Amino acid sequence: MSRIKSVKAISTTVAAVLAVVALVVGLGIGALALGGLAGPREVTVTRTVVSTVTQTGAGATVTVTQTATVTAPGQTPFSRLKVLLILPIDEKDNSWNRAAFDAVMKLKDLYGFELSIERNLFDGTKAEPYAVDYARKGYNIIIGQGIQYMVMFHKIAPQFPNTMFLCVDCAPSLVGAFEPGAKVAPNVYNIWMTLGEGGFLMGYIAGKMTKSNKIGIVGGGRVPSIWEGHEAFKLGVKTANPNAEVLEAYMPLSWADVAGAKKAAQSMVAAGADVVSASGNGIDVGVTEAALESGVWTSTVYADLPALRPDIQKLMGSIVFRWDIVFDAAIKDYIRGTWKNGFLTATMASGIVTVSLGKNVPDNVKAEVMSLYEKILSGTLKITFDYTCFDNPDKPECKPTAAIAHGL
Amino acid sequence: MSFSYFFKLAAVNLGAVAVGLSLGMLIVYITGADIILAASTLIFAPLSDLYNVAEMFVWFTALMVIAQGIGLGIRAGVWNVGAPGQFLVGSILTMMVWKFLNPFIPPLPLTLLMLVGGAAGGLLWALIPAVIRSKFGGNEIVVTLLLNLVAVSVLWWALDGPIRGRFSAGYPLSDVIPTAYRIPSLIPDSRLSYSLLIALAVAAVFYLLAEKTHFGLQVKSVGLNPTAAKTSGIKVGWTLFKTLLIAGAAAGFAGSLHLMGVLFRMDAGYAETGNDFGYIAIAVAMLGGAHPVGILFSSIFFSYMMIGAQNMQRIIQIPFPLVYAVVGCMLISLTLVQRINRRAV
Repeated sequence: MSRIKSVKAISTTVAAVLAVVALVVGLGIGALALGGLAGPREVTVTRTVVSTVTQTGAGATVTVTQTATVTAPGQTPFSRLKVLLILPIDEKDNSWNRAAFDAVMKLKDLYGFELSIERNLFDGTKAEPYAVDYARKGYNIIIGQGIQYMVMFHKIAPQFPNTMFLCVDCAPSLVGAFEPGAKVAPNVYNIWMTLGEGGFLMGYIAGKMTKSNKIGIVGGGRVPSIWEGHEAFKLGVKTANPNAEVLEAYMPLSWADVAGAKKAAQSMVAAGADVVSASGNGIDVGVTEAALESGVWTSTVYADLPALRPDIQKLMGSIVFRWDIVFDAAIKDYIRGTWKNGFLTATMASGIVTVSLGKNVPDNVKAEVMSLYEKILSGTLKITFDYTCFDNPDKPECKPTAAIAHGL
Repeated sequence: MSFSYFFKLAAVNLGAVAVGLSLGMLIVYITGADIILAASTLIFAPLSDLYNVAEMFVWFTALMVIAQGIGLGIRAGVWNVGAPGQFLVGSILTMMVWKFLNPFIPPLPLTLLMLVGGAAGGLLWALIPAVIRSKFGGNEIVVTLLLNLVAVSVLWWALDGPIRGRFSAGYPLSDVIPTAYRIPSLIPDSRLSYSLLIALAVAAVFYLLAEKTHFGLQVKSVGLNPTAAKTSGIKVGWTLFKTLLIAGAAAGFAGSLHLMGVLFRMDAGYAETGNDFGYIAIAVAMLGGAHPVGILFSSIFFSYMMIGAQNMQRIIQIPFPLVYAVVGCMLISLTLVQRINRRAV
């Protein structure tokens, strides 16, 4: 009984002390917050201009170097921009997210705009409050790196007519396909991309490199863009090596399933494959790990893996997406005011999609691939797809591949 | 229950929040972020504009309905950890009711039927642990927890099968529920809908059920002392069975409210939505002392914290797991102070 009483006595004192502490802390934080949030922050641009003049006179050389640093608030229309990048995962994937991250960082260094990055928002509906919040805070450009943001962007965009929503892997024609009757918002800048051309080249290398005539390819969800990449990969293999067999796996609905992708790649190696390719995102991480452990050839998409990981010996290469070109074009359109209903397709011919080859790929294979690459660039080689095969993959004309090469 | 009692209660809880916040800010400080900005964002951002307030009540709606069910369970001494799974199955069933019945039934009755479908889905998913708990005395925590994983697989299967949309461009998505079948929006240009009012009605029902009915008394006595309850003629197993089913139905109903009021479409990310609400609701129910009115207030507190934390993450760019650590610190100190307080008063 006395114990309970003593507890009560302490608790009353504690309550009084805590109440005072709470009041002081609360008032202090409130006051500081008001002080800290009061003034708008100035954006300053610092430019360093270095000019070197060299004069050669009679027998003597005089070099004069002048350095001038110019600092002024809000200098260029570019530095006044506020840009948000929404990533489904994060840049550690050395793939889809990494390519976009590097691109915005490069442009930030170039233009000095204010940049925010939101990571791990895989779901479009989950990202919606984030996009709305930034748009309300006056962000000019909101980049959504993936088709999962398309429906959300077109839904919220009409509320923010002066904000450009840049949607990667999206197309205006798809908006209605996702939701009948949905309106295409003019202030969403859509960027579509083709994985087919790159897939064809990687498949070609795989066909040349295999000795066991078994090649594996692992992808994320079976969606149209990934499916195109896989079918073209099979076409590349068939072109390089008609005897080779392709083992294919899609991870159900998940581009972040590193462990599942690794397991799929390992089972392909166990079935005799000596090449396992990945077709993007977190899948790349798992497949690269599996390939490193079992010593087979591999390849990835989006980021320049031969440059990022020079330690990987058996690397065929990467299909590299230069998103900085795309983002730069869109930002310039925004500044010019010619950005409404913007639509751009990332292809090899536009210079956005390139190929980076691994250092240990034999020179003769490199030469063959580069000549095919040039054919694609010049437009003599075209790859098309039989889209009826997407829904009915078991039709005889869809085997071994639904991709068709023209002008090979 | 005097004025000074409430004053002391408020003072103690406020003090606990301050202590928890200081602890959380210590963690933020270690990462090198600006703690003054972090703390002021956490506290002031949720009320800074209408959109944030609306987002707060989006969280409130889902958390509160789920937590009411879990709270009733806690009163009876059963722990329903399966709310994420029941939320998912409820949503799937809502979507199926819409998809298969919309050619035959006009919008208004079908909307009601969809809500019933959601509750039925959650109830069905709770049926398995309820039978195991009440008939065989199995551990409901393990069964409900494991069924959450099964529910995610069910979602993936359903997205590729029965609820796959006609308009999904090859992606595993459901169709979008058309406007006529949605719960209408409460604040324009926000995600808050009239499901908030429905949720408050649910809270009232739970209050009456737990405090004013014979069943509520049975639940309470089973939770306090099952042996004594049995001796006084209460069917303990049957009471636990009903309690678990009600908890499941509440979680499933929250699923249909969220689907029909906020998201309108299901995709693979929906599993994450279920997890977000379902697990936090357990803490909400505990903090609310498993009392319907307490849960009302703890849901407000939690949704306030979640929106503050989301804003904090956006503004000072700290990783999201850290945000949970800050909220966790506050929760620990609140629970602790509540314990001490309950012993003292």
